[in-house]
Amino acid sequence: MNDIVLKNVSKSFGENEVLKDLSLTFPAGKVTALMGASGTGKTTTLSLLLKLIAPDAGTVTGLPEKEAAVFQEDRLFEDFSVLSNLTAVTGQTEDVIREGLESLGLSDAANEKAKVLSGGMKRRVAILRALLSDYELLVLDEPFKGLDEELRKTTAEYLLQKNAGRTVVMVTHDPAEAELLGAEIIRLS
Amino acid sequence: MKKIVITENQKKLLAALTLLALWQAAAMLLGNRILLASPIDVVRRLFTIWKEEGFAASLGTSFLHIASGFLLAFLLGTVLAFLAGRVHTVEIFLAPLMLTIKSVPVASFIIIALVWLSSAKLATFISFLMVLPVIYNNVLAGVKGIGRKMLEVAEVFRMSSGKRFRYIWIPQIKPYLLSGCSTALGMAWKSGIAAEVIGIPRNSIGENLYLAKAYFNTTDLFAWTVIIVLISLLFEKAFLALLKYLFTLNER
Repeated sequence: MNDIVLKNVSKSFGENEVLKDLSLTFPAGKVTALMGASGTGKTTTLSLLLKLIAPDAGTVTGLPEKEAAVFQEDRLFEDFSVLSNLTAVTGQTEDVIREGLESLGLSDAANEKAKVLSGGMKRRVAILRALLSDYELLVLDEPFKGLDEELRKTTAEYLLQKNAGRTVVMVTHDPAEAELLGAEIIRLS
Repeated sequence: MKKIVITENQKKLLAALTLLALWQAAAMLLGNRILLASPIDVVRRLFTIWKEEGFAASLGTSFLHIASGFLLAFLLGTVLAFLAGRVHTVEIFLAPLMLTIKSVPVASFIIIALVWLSSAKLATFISFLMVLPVIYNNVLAGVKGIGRKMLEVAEVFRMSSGKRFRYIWIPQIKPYLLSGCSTALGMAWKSGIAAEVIGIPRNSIGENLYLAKAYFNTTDLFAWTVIIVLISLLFEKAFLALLKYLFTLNER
């Protein structure tokens, strides 16, 4: 595992320059939280880390081959059951998936279609999908959105246990969320 | 006083019965079966027509020709729409062809195709031609309407092409394909029978319609028309039910 290093990175969308000469280091095996006001390029930075976009200038080094993400929206396969959603992406056995569902209080939802789940349930399925995947870098965009305090705590504990020391980069507006994952905070301006 | 409540379906039934009554009254008023057969005559004829020699063969031949034309267009239209949705050059290349098929009157196509094809193949070709742009345009709208976000999920989680197709593309085109088929199924039968009436293949519904017209047998003409509407409706319901079932299987 290597540190992920962004060096003098710039990125524009049309006339809108979102990142300008940004240099950052995400230490390997640590949890790092990006914070900052809207429009400071947090989600754009995550997209760079996920290789969904390329920088206009500068370099991004140390990115692993295998990544997983919890996006800002849940992005589930709405017409499919929770089990199907998880097997399709993670490739894990049904037993492993059921164990994960139980840990996040979703045992009864295994055979429900994703579209009938509540917002909080969908969020936990999206988190489980990422955690059960094979990855070296986990990217989280406001991962606990829509979860109450108790669920945030249990989900964060499960996340840290399953993540087992791999590199995590998260975006959050809430310092308490960063604290739950023991993240080092980087503020973008 | 108790108020009578009439449901929507009852209103529709009432409208249909009124229309039938008007038709019966007009037929009785004219008193000429060649000019206008009455609904009672048509229903009576329906009870005897199926016993005649060649009835099943006519139904079978027309069904085979039209259904195969529809299925070919369904498959090719879907494949072409996927290609066009992913490769813009293919869309540009196919645009004038699809526009031509949509704009040229079906009668022109039938007469042109009669020069090239045997009358037996005409209905298949014409049904195929009328259905192709409908399926193509509907599926293309679905393919082009795919959100970037779900494709990003597939990218990040390194999903295989097969899984992308099953979990992202099929659910995406589902409503577009169902709506396209619903429109195209009726068109396949209308255009296919029109082709048969002009091409007159042996033992077909079109041949029976043509003979009824040639012998001024208006009752038979109406009876065959009712049969076409019934088969077309049955085929539409059965095909859409099958398609929905296949989508349900995919979602398991």
